[in-house]
Amino acid sequence: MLAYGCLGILFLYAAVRAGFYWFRRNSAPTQQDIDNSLLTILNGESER
Amino acid sequence: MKKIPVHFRPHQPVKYSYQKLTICKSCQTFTALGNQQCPACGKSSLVPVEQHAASTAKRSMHTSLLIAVFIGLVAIFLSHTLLQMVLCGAAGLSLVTLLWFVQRQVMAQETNRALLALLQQDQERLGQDMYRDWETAFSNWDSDKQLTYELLRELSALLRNDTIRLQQVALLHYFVLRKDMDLVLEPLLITNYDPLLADYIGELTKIKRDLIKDSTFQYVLNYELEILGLENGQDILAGVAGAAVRMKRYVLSYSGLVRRYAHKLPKDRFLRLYRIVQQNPHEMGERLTSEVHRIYQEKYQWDPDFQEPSTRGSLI
Ligand SMILES: [Zn+2]
Repeated sequence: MLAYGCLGILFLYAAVRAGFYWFRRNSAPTQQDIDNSLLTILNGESER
Repeated sequence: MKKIPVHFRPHQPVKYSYQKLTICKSCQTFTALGNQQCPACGKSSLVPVEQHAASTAKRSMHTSLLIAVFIGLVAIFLSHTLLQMVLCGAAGLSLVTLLWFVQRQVMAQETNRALLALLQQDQERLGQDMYRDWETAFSNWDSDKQLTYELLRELSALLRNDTIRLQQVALLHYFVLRKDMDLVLEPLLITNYDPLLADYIGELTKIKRDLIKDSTFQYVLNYELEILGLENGQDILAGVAGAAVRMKRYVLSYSGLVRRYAHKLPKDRFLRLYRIVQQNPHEMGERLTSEVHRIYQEKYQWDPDFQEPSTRGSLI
């Protein structure tokens, strides 16, 4: 029974992690966002 | 001043500015000068920030995967029968594979996330590191102007201000400029007037007129009076007008500038303008058309080149 319990935990863990990755992929910054962010850090808002 | 003949080392333009940035794996110092050794600790452990972020994202994903493998192994260990073992092994393997597959699909997004976090976590330090690079580049000014220019060119992908642009323009003033050089103009345009920049534009009209585009025409129009105050101001403006006759669109957009300096154009540029005006008599405006005809009558009426119809394309 314990083995199946572990398997259940593994199922939940894998599902939660996979769901976590999958759902937050849409909110990930694009390369352009990173570029803009870096230029703002180094030059302020005015200079791009 | 005697100009220095130089051969610039190849320059890799990048699409995103962070592609110029490397980080030391050992002390987390940033640099953008393309050096091999870390400027802070001296170790050869510099890697591109993208690569560093990819490693961070991978490490975090590997940890998740290892936890899943561990739970799967515990399930196998706790199995009482061979059938249970096989079942747990197969189910565990499938779940770990599923997780690995999802991780692989989102690798690029997770790397971007890690990269943004890396750049944002210590912004003050990142700024200080870039200004230290700037100082390093500048410290070579007296001893090696070519190196200084090349380093400033790398840094200007990240540091966008008029001071670094003017420093590059000032350095270019020391060099013999040639057609085959990897030169730029638009990234060097500053907000205010500067005679060195005007002079550089004038040099480019002789060797690389394809670099003269809308923003340069705008700059020249904004500071036309100041440029006229220079000893070679008329020549610079005539050179820019000569660059405008490359395209019909430029002649239409900057017809005033072209008209004012048409009389100073060399023959080949004037011929080009003459043909554009001839081919588009209704679009060019009365003032430009009449000025072109006046110059034609005055200088080229009997020139055989002006009698032949154009066989050339619209872009020279
Ligand atoms: Zn270091």
